[in-house]
Amino acid sequence: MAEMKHIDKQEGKKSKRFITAGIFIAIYFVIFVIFGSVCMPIPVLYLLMPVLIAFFSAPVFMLMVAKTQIPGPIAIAGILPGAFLLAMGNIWIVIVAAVIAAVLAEIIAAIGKYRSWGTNTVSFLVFSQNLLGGFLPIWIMREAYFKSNLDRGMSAEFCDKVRELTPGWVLIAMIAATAAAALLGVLFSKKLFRKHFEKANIL
Amino acid sequence: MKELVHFDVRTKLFLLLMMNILMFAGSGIPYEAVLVGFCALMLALSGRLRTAVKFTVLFAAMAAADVLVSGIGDGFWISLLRFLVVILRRFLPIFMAGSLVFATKVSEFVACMWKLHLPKHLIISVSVVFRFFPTVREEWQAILSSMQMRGIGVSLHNLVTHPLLTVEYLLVPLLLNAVKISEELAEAALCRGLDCDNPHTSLTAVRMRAGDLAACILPVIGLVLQKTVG
Repeated sequence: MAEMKHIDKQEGKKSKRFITAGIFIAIYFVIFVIFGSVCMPIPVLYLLMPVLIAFFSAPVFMLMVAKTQIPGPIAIAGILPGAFLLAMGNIWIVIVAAVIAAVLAEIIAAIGKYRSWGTNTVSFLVFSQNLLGGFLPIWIMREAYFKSNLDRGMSAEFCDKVRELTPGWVLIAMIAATAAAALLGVLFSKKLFRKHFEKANIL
Repeated sequence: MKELVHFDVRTKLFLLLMMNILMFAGSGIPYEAVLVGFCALMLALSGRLRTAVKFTVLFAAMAAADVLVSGIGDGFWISLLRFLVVILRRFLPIFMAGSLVFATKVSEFVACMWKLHLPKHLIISVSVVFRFFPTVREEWQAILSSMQMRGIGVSLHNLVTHPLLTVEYLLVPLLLNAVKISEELAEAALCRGLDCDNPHTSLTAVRMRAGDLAACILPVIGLVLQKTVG
């Protein structure tokens, strides 16, 4: 009987942590939606979207991991925007990329038992790549279109010109810039935590 | 317009998946017209006639533009314009299936997650996300107005001169509130048996009906036809 009570209490604590996680995921999601709707219509800003989100969501992510310290929330937080983009009309690649980034981030954070700043930081750098799938169609759709239209008499010159407008290195630059912004975001949140949350006994 | 047929969430999600597959399975205006027509029918039956008409008109305009422009010539800018229009047009069926998913009520979505036997903790987190959105907006408003009073409001001037400080003033109260609210919400939800192991009862009936079956089978038949007949 005593043991049973113990288990129930553990279960309750776990549920409580998932509720906490839900709240931070909601804030992360709001940041994602705000920057998404600001950046989407403007071509250059559109490519900067994951970079901006990575910086501003860092404190939310770090606080979420610090307050929950269980496997699950990181994966849910990473996959949810992917699912949202999929339902908004992106192709399936968006969710595959989100799942890969989120699960990798979860594993990395788990290695440090969710308590180490080092592994949590690396985890966030990987986590921030979860939106990349939304941009891959620029390259994938393009090739599919060229393939289906070249035999219908489209000039190869045109294909080369469009390829020039969006060279492959843009993708690599985006990954690097997102990781850099994520790192800066983590440093910023570390400062915030010292200045505010540790004093207020939140952590 | 009234909802003529009520489609299950799972049907809508399946449709979204099928539209993703179908989009890559073929191309050409007649093929796309069939997909758009089917999605428009689904939207109209779900009582979203206006959305259905909007997408259909958009598709017709894009198809017409494609045909007309290709008659003009194949200069670089015309080709580029055509390229963008065709890519956007091919996404239309997915946009339509997506707007069908978005027409779902939150209660129905949560009930469906329990029905699908997803992990309990996943459902708890996702339900809280939905529940917390309106609260974030309220908190956000309150923080903005109190910042205004202290003279550190979110204005262009403050954002340019102290961008990081302004973000800090916004995020810190938001996160502190989140920690506090999460404790209260957790106590309230656990009191009401959120993590109870017995099946959750819901007044929202989640059931697959004849309409769902038809809506699921038709795209599959379409895919098979496309793959075999071409």
